[in-house]
Parts: sequence; C-alpha cells; structure tokens
Amino acid sequence: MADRIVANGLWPRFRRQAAAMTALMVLALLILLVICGPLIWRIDPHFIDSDPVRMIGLRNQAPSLAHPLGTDQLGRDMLARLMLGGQVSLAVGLVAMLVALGIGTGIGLLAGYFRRLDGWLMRLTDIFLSLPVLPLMLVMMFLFRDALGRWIGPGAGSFALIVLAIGLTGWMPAARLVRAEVLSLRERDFIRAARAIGAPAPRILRHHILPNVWAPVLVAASLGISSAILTESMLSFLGFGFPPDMPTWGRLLHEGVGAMRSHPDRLVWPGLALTLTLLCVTYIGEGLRRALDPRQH
Amino acid sequence: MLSFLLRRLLFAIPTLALISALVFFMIDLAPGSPMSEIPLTVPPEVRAQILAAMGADQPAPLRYFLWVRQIVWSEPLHGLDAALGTSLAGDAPRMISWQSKVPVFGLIAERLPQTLTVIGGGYLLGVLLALPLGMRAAARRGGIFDHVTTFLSALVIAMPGFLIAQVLILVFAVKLGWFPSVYDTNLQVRDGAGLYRMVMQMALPVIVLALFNCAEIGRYTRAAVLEQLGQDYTRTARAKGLTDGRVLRVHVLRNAMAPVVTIVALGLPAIFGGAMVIEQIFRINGIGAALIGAIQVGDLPVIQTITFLYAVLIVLSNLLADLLYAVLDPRVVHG
Repeated sequence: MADRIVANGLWPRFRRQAAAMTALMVLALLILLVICGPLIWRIDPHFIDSDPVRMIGLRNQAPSLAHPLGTDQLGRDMLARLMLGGQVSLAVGLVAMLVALGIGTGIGLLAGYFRRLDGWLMRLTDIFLSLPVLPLMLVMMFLFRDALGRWIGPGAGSFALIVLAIGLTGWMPAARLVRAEVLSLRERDFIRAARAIGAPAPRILRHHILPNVWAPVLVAASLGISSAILTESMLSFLGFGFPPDMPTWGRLLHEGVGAMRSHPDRLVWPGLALTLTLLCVTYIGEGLRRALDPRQH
Repeated sequence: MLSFLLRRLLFAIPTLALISALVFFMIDLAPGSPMSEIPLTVPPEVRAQILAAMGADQPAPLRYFLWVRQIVWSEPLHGLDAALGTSLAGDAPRMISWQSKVPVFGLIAERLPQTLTVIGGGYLLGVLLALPLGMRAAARRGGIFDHVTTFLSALVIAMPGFLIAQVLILVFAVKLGWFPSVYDTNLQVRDGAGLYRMVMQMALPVIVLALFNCAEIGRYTRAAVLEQLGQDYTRTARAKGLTDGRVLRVHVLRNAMAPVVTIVALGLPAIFGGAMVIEQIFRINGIGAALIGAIQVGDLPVIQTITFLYAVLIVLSNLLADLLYAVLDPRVVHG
C-alpha cells in the first residue's frame, strides 16, 4: 500500500521537471533510432567490398545520399556502424548495470538487516571503493579475454567479461544506498510486526524490505548505467574492449582518432551519440533523485 | 588527533594487504597469464627449466610472500642505498622487469613524477576553479550563472575524458597550434626556455583533468554550500549585519568543505583511471602508460607492481582526505 502511493506520486513529480522530461524524451528517441534504425537503413555494417579496387574507391567517402555519414577506412557505412555500435554500447550499459545492481542490492540488504554482517560488509565495500578500477579492468581483459573467447566466441566472451568486470567493480554505490534505506526500514513498525509473528529473515527481506528499497535502487541504476557505458567506451578506446568486428561507440571513437586530422566527423558522430546518451541518463537520474527526495516538497 | 591518524593508518594496512593479494593471485592464476603461455613446441624438460628460472615452479603463496617482501623490504632498502650510498640491502635480489630487464622500481621512479604532476596539477587547478564557481552558483541559486555552470558541469561529467582530450587536441594543437599534442619525454628543464616548454606540454593534459575535477568538485561545492546556507548559524551571521561575501567566505566555506572532501576522496579511483587514459593519449611516459605497455607484452612483475602502486596511491590520498576532514571538522576526532 505504502509503495503504491509513492509509486503513484513519483511520475507526476518527475513529469514536472522540464530538464529530466526532455532528457527522457531525447533518450527514448535515441534508443528508438538505434534499435529500429537498422530495420530501415539496411546496409550491412560489416560489409567490406571483396574487390580490392572497388574497396579502395569506397574508403573514407564524404557524406552522400548513399552514405549519409560517409564511410570508414575500410569502406563500411558509418551510419549503419553507428547504430550497431549504439546497440552494443547500450546493451553493455544495461546488463553491466543490472549485474552491479544485483550484487550491490544483495550486499546492501544483508549489511542493513544483519547487524553482525554490517561491519564486515561495509569494510569490504570500503576496500572495493579504493581499488584502482581501470588498471584492474585492463589486466582482467588481458588475462581472461582469450580464454573466454575460445570458450563462448570472441564477441560473446568480450561482452561477458566487460559486463562482469564493470559489475564486479561498480556495485559499491548501490550497496551503500540500499543499506542506508534498509537501516531505516528495519526499525519501522511493519517490519517489527513481521518479526514478531515469527517470519524468517529471508521472507522478511524478500517480501517486506525488498519491495520498499526500489527508490535508492532506481537512483543507483541511473548512476550505474552511465558509468558502465563510460567505462566500456574507455576500455574500447584503449583497445582493450570489443574485437574490431563488434563496434561500440567507444570502439568507433578509437578508430576515429586515427583519422582525426583528415576526417574529424568520424570522431564527432560517435562522440555526440555517447555524450548525448550519458547526459540524458545523468539528467534522468537527477530528476528521479529529486522526485524521490521528500525534502523537495 | 594522533590517535585518530594512527587508527586510520592501521585500517590502511589490511586494506592494502587484501588488495595486494587480490592483484597478485588474480594475475598469477589467470588462464591467460604468460606463465601458462610457453609454446607447446617447447619440450617439457626445457619448459620446467624456464619455469624454475623464473621461480614460477614454487607454490603461489610462497611467491606472493616473496613479492610482498620485495616491495616492503628489499626494494626500499635498495632505494635507500642508492640515495645515501649505504649498503643496507646487501645482495638482496631486485625485482626485474621481464621486458626491459631493468629493476621495476627504477622504471617506476623514472615515471612516477610525470603521473603525479598531471594528477596534482589537475587537482590543484580544478579545485581553484571549482570553489569560487560552485560558491557563486549556490549564492545565486536559480540564476543564469547557476543554470549555465550546472549544465556545463553535467556536460563535462557526461563526456568521456578521452573525447574532451581529443577535442582539445583538435582545436588547440592541430588547428591553432598553441600547445604541442605529444609530450616530449627527452625534454630536460635546465633554463627558463626549458621550463616554458615543459609547462606548455603539460598544459593540455592538466587542463583536461582539471576540467573534469572542476565539474565534479564544483557540483558538490554548490550542493554543500546550499545546504549550509539554510542553517541557523548562517541566518545569525546575516542578522548580525555581515555582508553576503563575508558570510560565504568565513562562515559557510569551511563547513561546506567537509562533505566535499569526502566526495572527492571517493572519486579518486576514477581520477587515477582518467589520468591513465590521458597519459596514453598525450604519450606522457607516466606509470599509466607503462602499465598499458606492460599489459600488452605480458610483463608480470611490472603489471603487478604498478597495479598495486595505484592502490597505494589511492589509499594514501584517502588518508590525506581523512586528515583534511579532521582539520575541517574537528568533531570526527573528538567523537
């Protein structure tokens, strides 16, 4: 009942914020373009002309009707690659965020509910917060990419590894937010009542606490998705991310840097898409945080 | 104060011990580790000899213990010997890079100053810009200045650092030619002209990092100042007839700084990661670029030591932040 009221109140309060609403619409448009675009623009993003003479002719073309954003250094259509790259980037962000959120929520629930675990789990969180994340991730990519690639294929292997690496090093904010919420929930009357009638801890956690912590989880999700997309682009940019035949926005930027002086637009489009997405997610997260903050009313 | 500091230091030791174990065993036991990648054409007895020569036939816990002893005991002694001309270390072996066959710590000592300059410069410039901007935005909440700076900081935070770096290179190095885009590692500062060139080649990398720091710190400064502006003591100060500027600078600033310091400390790992990317882009020979180079050729001693060094730097900066917090808000020391 209580969460129903908050849930009903969230949307009107979110809708009143112009910046967050604009961001939501722009992001929806971007996602629509990236997902439905390839259904309309049907050029194969991997197509490289097998005839070398024609291939050389197709390389580095300026924007035209046939290729609205031009072609890259191998004659592949940039628009098609940009859309495929967006799909991969967004998928990485979403799945990595879910992994981080899953770990973080679990640890936050345990730390908040069980006093005995709290100290240890929070110390673990502190240790993870001082890990050198990027160096460790590069090392993980280097060590496990080939082994995992042999096992489930290079593309899927990279995807699983990147998602896991980001999730394993990014769960701490979610854990802290959820723990704080659980700490305040566990002293409330309905939890005490559940405990008093003898409900076991797992049941209380699942049925009474978990449905009530979605507010911080939502905020952590928006934080997590932007940092995951950003981290993936950084890995790809350094050449430690996806294999060359699986473009992401970061990977396209990595390729664009080589041609930066002669074709700056190769840097502009993926950069613009990446920045716009991250900016929208940030503003949506901010809007959610405000809509959920009781002090704002 | 001293006991507070000691408690913090004592917590740093298990943290570092855990991180060192994590770094060592993850790299050592991984399937893609160079230890396991001796070609199959090598006969088994030669393979065993290679492993024995690298010390890799010893059990992993023993090798971990030796590695740690090397870092906390032998190498610092060698460092002292080199600095003071003593011979404390005796004939203790040095940790050698597999790729370049020189002591790992010599390599790090050559490269650490560049990394610290970029990070330190980025922080200093970022803080110097962020404090006045954040305070002004908070003082005139909802005004044009506030909206513009809020948007700009969101933009800088949303843009990946490497993209900002590339845009700045394109504009200021390629088009305008004001700064060099590639760091000259041979440059030695002997005179005024050398110093000038050093400053110029450090300018772009430091600016990129400073922009990011400024956006992040400025945002939190604004939020913290807004929080303090609503407090009773601010109203009292105003009621006494103090000017707005004086209330902000004398009363609000110090109280607002404490939470900002905490947040900044939490963002440190991201800053060190960002500095690594920036070193790679501008070809600065710092430890980040050294780590990337070592990863590409599988130079385990360098990879393990530099990754651990990053952890040490982060933990040390965290300690510094705790200290700063205690100075700004003495309540944490006296309970």
